[in-house]
Amino acid sequence: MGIAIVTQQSPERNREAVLTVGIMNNHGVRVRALVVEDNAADACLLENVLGRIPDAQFETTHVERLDDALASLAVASYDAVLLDLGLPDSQGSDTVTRLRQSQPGVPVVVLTGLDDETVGISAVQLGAQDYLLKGSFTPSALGRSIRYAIERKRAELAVMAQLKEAAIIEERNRIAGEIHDILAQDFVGILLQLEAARELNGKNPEEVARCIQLAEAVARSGLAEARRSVWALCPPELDAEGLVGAVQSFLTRVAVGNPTAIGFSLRGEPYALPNDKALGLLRICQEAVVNALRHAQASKIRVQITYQPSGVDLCVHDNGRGFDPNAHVGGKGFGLISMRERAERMGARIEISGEPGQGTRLTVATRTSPGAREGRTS
Amino acid sequence: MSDPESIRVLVADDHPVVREGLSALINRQPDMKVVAEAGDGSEAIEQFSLYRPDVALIDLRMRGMDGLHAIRVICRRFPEARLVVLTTFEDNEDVYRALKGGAKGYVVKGASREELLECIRTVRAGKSHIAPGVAARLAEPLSRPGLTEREL
Repeated sequence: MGIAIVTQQSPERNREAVLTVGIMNNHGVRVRALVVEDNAADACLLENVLGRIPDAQFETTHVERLDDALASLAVASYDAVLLDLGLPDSQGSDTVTRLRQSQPGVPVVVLTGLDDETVGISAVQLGAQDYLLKGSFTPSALGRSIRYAIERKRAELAVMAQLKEAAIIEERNRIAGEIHDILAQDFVGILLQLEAARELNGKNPEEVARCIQLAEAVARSGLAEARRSVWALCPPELDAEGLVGAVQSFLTRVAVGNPTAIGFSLRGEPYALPNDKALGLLRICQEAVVNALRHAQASKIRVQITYQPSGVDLCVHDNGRGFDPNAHVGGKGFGLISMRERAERMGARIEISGEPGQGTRLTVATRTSPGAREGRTS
Repeated sequence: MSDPESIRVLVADDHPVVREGLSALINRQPDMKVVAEAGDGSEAIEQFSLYRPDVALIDLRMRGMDGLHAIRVICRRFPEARLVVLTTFEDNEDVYRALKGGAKGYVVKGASREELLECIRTVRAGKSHIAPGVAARLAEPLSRPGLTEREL
């Protein structure tokens, strides 16, 4: 048996040690599986099939509710979750979404009792690794599905780790570039004016005054730029003004001295978002607007935030020169990696469309998990 | 001012205050005069073709077309061009590329004005203005892969 089963640990706990190879003994690979199934007969049947999988030894834990599953996953590590979608406390694809939001690192195989492929397919689209129709699988099919789920998850995590690293490097380069292009040049400008003032001192008082005035102006704009950079790196706590306030204040800051017209519109009634989502949306918004200003040569940028009961959408649209998004996939350029990575991390869908000469449109759609909607409006 | 012997200089930098400051400094010298300014690489090429200055100061990093590209294009079109690289950081691979690409000297921004002026005069006289350590490194092959002339 050549397949190595990997053990999944919580990625939050230790990103470096995400994967360790499972133990192989005389009975084959040992797999810790969490069975989430509220129907006792189905659960019994499943455990029976698991027990007959060749070359593998399953240690199963059985829970009946999603909340119990999440609690169990929070304290113990499992190699895979076998997930029924119709549970007492969660129904349908929501079950997958909630599990994935809470435990993005664990491989999931969905078991659907409905003789309906579309439920399984949508579960996979939402992040499950595979689906099986209850009662229609053999032990070897189930074993293969679980192994593939674990392998796929491992590959996905490895790609995400790479993307994250690329995003960090890109962010660092961006910061270095900003220091180089803006702050260092401002200092050079100040230096030149002060040197000139020193040289002209006593000869041309008017010219000296002008040099000092210019140096002051450059120092002031450099300071504003430094504040802007620091603010972009770690914005003040979002709670104070909420996402809408933070986006508006960011747009006001970038609009100063910029010929591009930046518009903002709000749809729906704002409500409090979990901080990671709000921060993620703010960052993506910042990145997209700065890209449009720096690279798109746009005369207009429109930012729209839409609050819907199901989630919050962000749209950044410019009328600039546009670009071919496919030309940048997996590559560098315009912070696309970091935006995609952020969206992925917060479980949001991101779409960037643009054609050369046609402007660029970026949309991010987040989905609010039930129960997270309470709280003050901002 | 109209001294026929005065050095005609082009200044290319995308920071307006830096550009203006450099121009003012140069114009205060009795033997130099700024004949043209440019805010990015393509402007630098245009202005160079138009004015054919004795010496051109070109910032390496500019929005739009950068200085390295402009230096390579100018040196190819005008092999006799006398270009000085302006750079924010001395330890910059692009400085070496620019010197390999034909620039005759470089000045770190923020260096004393005496050094800048001396560099302009040296390069105008047909000599190179390159620190000994940098010159030694220039004799070695590029340590990191960059664009070759052919790739331009």
